[in-house]
Amino acid sequence: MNFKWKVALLTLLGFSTAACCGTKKTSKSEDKNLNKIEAEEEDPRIMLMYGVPFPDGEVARPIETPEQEAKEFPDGSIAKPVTEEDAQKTLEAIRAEREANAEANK
Amino acid sequence: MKGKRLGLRKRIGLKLFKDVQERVVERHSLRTLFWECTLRCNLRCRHCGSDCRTDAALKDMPLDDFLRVLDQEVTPNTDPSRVLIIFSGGEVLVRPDLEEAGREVKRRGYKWGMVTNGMALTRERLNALIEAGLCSVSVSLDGFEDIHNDIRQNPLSYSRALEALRLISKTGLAYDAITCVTPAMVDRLEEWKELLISNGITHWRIFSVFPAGRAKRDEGLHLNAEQFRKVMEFIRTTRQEGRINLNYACEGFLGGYEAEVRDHFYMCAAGVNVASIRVNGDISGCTSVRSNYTQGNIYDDKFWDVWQNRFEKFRNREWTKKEECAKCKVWEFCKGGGMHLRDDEGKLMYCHYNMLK
Repeated sequence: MNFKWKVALLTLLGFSTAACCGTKKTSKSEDKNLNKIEAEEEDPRIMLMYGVPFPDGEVARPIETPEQEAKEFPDGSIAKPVTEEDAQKTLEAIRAEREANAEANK
Repeated sequence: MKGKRLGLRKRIGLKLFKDVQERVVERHSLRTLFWECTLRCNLRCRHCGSDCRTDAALKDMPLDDFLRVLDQEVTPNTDPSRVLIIFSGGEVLVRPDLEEAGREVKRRGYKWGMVTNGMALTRERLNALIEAGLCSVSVSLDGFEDIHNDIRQNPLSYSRALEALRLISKTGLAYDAITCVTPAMVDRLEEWKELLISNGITHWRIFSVFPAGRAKRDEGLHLNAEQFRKVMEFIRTTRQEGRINLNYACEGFLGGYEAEVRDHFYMCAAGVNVASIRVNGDISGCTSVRSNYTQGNIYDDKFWDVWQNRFEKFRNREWTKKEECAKCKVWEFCKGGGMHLRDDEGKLMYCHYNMLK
């Protein structure tokens, strides 16, 4: 079976992300046929155990001041790390909500 | 609790994926290059695969030596924009010239990232690294404060790592928190997930201990089969939930959990499109692969010649078809597991698939 057909079949089976093959971002001015070849040649993106996530092209920006950092979290709660106790409370709230929803759906 | 069975749809998918794998092996285009720039570390973690120390016996590799390999061997033979360079250690932040290394790598057209324990990642250092072209970063955070600090053997390691992640999450960098799940964390993963989400962390990766380095001698860190299945179930349901982007690391074939606990099908890319230059100049696949699979050394060999003409054991895994792998029904998908799971004699030290049976 032709390789392209196999890739198409993988997509049909719902494995497009799992099996393939990231596509290289190319500018519009580049030749369309060339883009196609580049896309086919891209390897599957394996998340390596001691690796890092593949950069998605977003430009990182430095954090300028502590004030700026605080402003990005309107409720101010992020100014200090969330504790285990907070996480436990959140989890309990989520569980209670789930149980209430389940009860309501009965 | 039984593991998930490998169903027909997935089996067909994996058979088709074999072709994708074979093409990748045939091309062996270099896509990721690890630079183990130091073996020094500011922590002494119980599960360290590298067995790092505060004062490593091996000196850091001079930056110029690495740049020489890039300039003479890698850049002329690749499109730098398609090669991701990962600085690894040891702990990379102990190198005072890390920013300079980043700038030089960026100037040559490469993207670069780093793996860190976050201990020394202040706001100023992070900003300097971003200015130097840092694109992606992974920070180790192994669980709640008591668990993390116990594994890392430092009372400040948890708060520093969490603070590092909170800072990073505001910068637009590609990033993730890496949790090495140990038995103490298995039943607390749900709670741990909430803590990560509450702290604004959006990307998370889980792996489990494999028997290498110090971890080999510390059996209290190893998951049993039941715990491992619980972890797989947790990852699967968390991914379905979609509140945080969670992946299991690349390290082994997971049978029925394939394509459900990570974004991709299993494939060991070591030596296929991943190479590493170790602190002593050794050329290998991933940095976690044992030293007797070394393929050359940058001080004796031409890196590109090694990359093109050696790595046979990495690219043709037929040799792994022995002992328990010889009769295994899924060998065609797994190819004997990750290269880092093979001991000095080539024997498989740990089989993820067997754990899930």
